Amino acid sequence: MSGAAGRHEVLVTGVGLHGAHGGGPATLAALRAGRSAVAPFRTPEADGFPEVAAAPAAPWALDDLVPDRKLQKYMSRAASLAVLAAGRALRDAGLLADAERKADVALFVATGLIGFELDQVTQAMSVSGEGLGGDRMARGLALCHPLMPFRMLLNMPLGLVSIAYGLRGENAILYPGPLQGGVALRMAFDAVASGRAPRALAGGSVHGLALMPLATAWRAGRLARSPEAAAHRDGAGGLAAADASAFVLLESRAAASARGARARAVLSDVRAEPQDGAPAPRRGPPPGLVLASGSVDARTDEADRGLAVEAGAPEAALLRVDPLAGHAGAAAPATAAALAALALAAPDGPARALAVARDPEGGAVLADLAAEARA
Amino acid sequence: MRRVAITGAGVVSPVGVGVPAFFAGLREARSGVGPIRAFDATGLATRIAAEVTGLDAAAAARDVPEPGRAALLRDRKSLFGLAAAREALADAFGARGPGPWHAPERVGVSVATGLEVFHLEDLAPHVQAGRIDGAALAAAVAAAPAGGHLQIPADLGARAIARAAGARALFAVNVSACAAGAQAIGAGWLAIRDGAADAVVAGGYDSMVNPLGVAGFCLLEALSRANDLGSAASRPFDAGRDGFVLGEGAGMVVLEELGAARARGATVHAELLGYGSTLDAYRVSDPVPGEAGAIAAMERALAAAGLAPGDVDYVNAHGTGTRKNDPAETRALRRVFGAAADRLPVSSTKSQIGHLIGAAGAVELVASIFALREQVLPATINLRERDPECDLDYVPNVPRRAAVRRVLSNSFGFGGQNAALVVGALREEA
Repeated sequence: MSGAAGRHEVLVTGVGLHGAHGGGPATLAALRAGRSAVAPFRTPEADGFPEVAAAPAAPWALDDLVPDRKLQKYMSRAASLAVLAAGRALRDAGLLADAERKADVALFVATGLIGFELDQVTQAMSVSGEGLGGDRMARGLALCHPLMPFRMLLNMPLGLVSIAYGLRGENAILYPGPLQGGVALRMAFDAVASGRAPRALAGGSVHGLALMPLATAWRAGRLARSPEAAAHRDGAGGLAAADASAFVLLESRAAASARGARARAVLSDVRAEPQDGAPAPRRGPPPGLVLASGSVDARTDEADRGLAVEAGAPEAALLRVDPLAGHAGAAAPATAAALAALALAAPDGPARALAVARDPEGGAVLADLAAEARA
Repeated sequence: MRRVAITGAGVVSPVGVGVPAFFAGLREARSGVGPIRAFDATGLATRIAAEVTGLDAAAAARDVPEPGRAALLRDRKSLFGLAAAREALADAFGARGPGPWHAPERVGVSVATGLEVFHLEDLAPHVQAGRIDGAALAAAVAAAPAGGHLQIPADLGARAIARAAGARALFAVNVSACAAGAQAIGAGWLAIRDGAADAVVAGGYDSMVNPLGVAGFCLLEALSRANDLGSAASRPFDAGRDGFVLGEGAGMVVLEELGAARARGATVHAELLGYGSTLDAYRVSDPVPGEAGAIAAMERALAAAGLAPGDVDYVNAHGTGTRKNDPAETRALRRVFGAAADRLPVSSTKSQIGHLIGAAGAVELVASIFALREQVLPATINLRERDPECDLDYVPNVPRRAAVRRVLSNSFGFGGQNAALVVGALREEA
């Protein structure tokens, strides 16, 4: 036990991620090379909906992690992404085949707005007519897939990750944006730091390319109309929509040591604050890397730069996730934290990194990570 | 270790709006179940629900600025949540709110909710032969008030509650379905106990009494189809039960660090003593054989409270009325309480108010406070025929006077989430 008031030191012993560039190492390499996966996007769910900038997740398969095809049928796209990234984090931590230790894992997940399985709903509507009410509703709904409700329930990413991997600990699923992704990360941090759980899996998953959340974000003026706008190079600003998932496996130093696990990073603090403006970082050595997500325009770009400078980071240390990989919404804090942990674990990695995620509804998340002392 | 007092409560329920009306409903063992009035459910297998009546929507949305107000008025569940939160805040702090006693940076909100509202009528004009006219939809969305068209995010009410409370510490929105309300309150308890906040508005609000909600649960074959039974359709633990009845509403409590509550002379309704949550990690819709998850959640809550099973006087059960839940919960209670289970009163308020999904655990915690405050056990109504697999004392049909010092409240979710809360009368240190 170490740290403030007898709290346990918290390590990141596993990371898992999937987005437009693929997995974690590929994503970090792409960001460092300035390679963008953001492109013009038209939703296939509607004819003629306006084009936006987006970064769809690279194709994936779950079969090596979840051989049970029947279980896969319960999964929405967001749930499938969550199961994928969570499985990668468990594998990275060396826990995937360790049924006994997995049973102790606490699980905190954040998810975004749902897509409502529109293909099913519109099919039902074509039979039942406007409003989907009255006698005709039953006829319309008879056409729907019996698993449709499972794909719409917001708690399913949590339940399905737990079922896929046998996680039985303390848990919660939060909703809908980066702030709640930060709350999930904070809850996991507290569960381990307080000693309630030896290890916790925290992360998020979103399918921001479904028509319903896309239309909601579009109406709110949050979506960039082009990759240039998403990079805030044409003055219009906005976010590139994405579907993505990321998880980090947090573990107390004692629990990690007991099983001989290596740390990718030390997580020293997580703050998820509902008020505008990012939390000020704690004092410490200057961060060599600041991963930022959720900036919508030149003004918030400048705020990110100010935060990095305030913390003592050199200008080149600021790495923006969204213009190159899309905005991961509820998964943004875990995405930034996972990428920071990967960078810190590299032989030539920095000693300290900050992960920052702004919420378009207000609020911000800051995760403070440090490299494990190198031998 | 910091202790957590409950100093305010608010309820919007199918048997009454406001805590006094809700308590009267429990005292009189009234049912809130009847034919669905919110929409035309004629074609569905289930046409009954426990709906809220008598809520003044305009009053609930007062002081909420546009554009949020327009959206709020199209989202029943958020109105329920805001109304219950206002009642809880007024109960705890009076008209001035927490401000005079707690800095905004020490006040949090931890609430549970259900699915987003999908206004099918907004989409329907743009659907032709199973395809959506995206250009027309975009034009309609652009012309509509912000946030109130097509899809209303489920955290709308939570944001309104945070504004009403002036909260700037924890802001957590839990969507763990049937376990969400208890989990949200548990998270508030942890935040105060561990020093992250001094006061938290915690609870849940939900309504799935809408076409997609009822139709979805019909597809899952989870709902009672006893439409002809009306108010007698919700029958937890009864041999004839055939599924749960959907309810709607909200329950909110104000949690406060006990020392701070005492210092300002607040009335303490009860003390929140413990919380436990677990996952079954088994199947999406079935409880795990052996009920290990439910058992562990109850045991963790008792351990967190520093209590032994024998210290519990009453259990407010999850008690949904489905074929699988009720015997599984009965077996889990027998494992936790051992021989004492034979003498332990257990009841399901879902028999009266239906299953409030994301709000269930929160409203049922307020029902547990009712048991503590009034020394009366809420009844399991509509319990006529004994199921051999459900063999506990379920307080059948009539509320019962009893000495109640500590209550355990269970919530188990579709997908395998389990949560338990322990609440008790305020105990003074020796």
